[in-house]
Amino acid sequence: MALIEVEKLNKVYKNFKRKEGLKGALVNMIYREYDEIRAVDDISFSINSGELVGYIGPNGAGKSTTIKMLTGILIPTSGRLVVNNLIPYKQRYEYTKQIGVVFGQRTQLWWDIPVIESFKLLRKIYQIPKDHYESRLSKFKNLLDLKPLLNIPVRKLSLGQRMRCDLVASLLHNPDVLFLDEPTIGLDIIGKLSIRQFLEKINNELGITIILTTHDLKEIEALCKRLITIDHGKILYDGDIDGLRSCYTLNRSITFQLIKNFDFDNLEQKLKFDGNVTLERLDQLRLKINFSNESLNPAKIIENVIKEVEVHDIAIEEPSIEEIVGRIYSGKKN
Amino acid sequence: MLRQFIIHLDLGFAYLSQFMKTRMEYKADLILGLVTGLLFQLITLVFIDVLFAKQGLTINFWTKGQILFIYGFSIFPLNLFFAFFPNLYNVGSVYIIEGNFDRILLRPLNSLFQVLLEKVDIESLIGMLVGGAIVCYASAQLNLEWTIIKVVTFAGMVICGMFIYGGVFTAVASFSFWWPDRVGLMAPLFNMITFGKYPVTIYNRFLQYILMWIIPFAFVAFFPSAYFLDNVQFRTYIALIPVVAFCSMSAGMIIWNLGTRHYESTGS
Repeated sequence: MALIEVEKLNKVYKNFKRKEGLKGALVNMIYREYDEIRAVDDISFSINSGELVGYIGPNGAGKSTTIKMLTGILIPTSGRLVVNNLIPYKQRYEYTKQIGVVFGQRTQLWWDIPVIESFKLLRKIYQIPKDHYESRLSKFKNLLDLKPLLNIPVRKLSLGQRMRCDLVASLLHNPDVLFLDEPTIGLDIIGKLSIRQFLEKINNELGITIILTTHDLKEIEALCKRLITIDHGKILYDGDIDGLRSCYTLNRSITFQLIKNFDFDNLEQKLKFDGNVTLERLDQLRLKINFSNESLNPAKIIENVIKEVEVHDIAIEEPSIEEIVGRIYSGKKN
Repeated sequence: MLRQFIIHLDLGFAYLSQFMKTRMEYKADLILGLVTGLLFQLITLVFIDVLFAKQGLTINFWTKGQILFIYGFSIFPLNLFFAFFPNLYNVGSVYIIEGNFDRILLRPLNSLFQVLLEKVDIESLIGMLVGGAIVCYASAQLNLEWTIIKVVTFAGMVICGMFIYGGVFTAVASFSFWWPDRVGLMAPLFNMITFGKYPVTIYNRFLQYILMWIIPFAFVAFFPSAYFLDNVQFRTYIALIPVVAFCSMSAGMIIWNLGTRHYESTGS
């Protein structure tokens, strides 16, 4: 059975329409009109234990709302949501002991007290046995190099340092699932990398299921085997990253480095392809061929070109995940 | 149930000791808080003294000594309330509008308990010294006799008073879950506290009714004082005080729990 099961989940917000001006404000006090906003629209998916899933979508797509329902902060308007046989918002005490949550935008630690004191409080809150606590802390401490940070109050930490501490805090009680909402937002390359490696490690070694939202697609590519994309509250794609590539019509290109100067017009005439293909002269020795992946494969093009001219080097450009996701976000299929 | 209670109690102390440590880091703030608190009490005392400047004057049959006693008593529950419930004032703004309630809901603890413990105003307890001084002075003036039982009753009534305030303000703070508002009803209700510091008989019938049965602030200081002052008309009300305290806090918690189901968090 799947660890997380989501079935026809909906979240509708009611925003009341504020009328402008003093008169409007008075009217508002007595009579309110509401706008319905369907933040999450009938979504279904299931996630197995041990998966590392990227959950992406543009701002306002419904990502955070989904995460907040999954973590029990928000109550769904309708639909079924079961994690580890528990209903998050109903069995909150039991449920929160089984999950870890990190919000990149907001710390879960106590602002004014040293990191280690925050950890000690968490140990009490989650009733973690002392030996478990010690062994987990010492393990994470080494992995994320926390030692020099433990006695500093949270408010004095840099963003990257704080993030590392937040991550450890979310894992002390040995959760089965870890929810991360933009965990690397605003971090530098090194900070991102260390968190990425850490997540990979805990997913592999401890088998913790991770669900991660991010705008950093490199992160998704490096970490996640599975991708769920959402926009306007609906799921657009759910599957692996390669599948996403083949699912869209994409522009690819091959650049040929030639040995001798070539006659572009002549070549263009000779090379006739079926489908949507354009030739482009980059400079005296370089020729670029743009094509879409549904009509042709690169081998065919290379074969044809080599017949006509002497080639020194070939570079094939793969469509980037950014391009694909950009396409999804802008709502175009082609 | 008992286990949950013990866990919460243990955590209460852990939070408190943490809080004291941070409080010590802001020493200037702490001292300033103490000084302003004492000053405020002194000004009110001067006011009462001026009011009763003429010897033998009574207000609505209450003597200066009695008024002082009620006033002195009222300082105890109020400061206890200020010490342990100050964060209710931030529920609308910090927790609901700014979305910090997310963090509260992610921990396996009672949400109200967490909110209350995230800010404690221990220095308010110092104000009780002033209350103690006034009560002692008034007792001497009125020749009141104190027994161990009366002292214990006194302490019990003070705690009941704290819960009456606690319940009422928890309920008011909970309204922010439905109508997110930065301060809302808090401020006007805060002003109503003052009404509870004087004999309820000096107000008109309508206000009396409200103070006794709707927003039961009369049960915080006036009714317990009436018992100690041996006021024939009102001394028996003391039996009701624990009931009112229990009902008030329960109502507050029920409304709070209903409110948390309406919490809508903030955008990402």
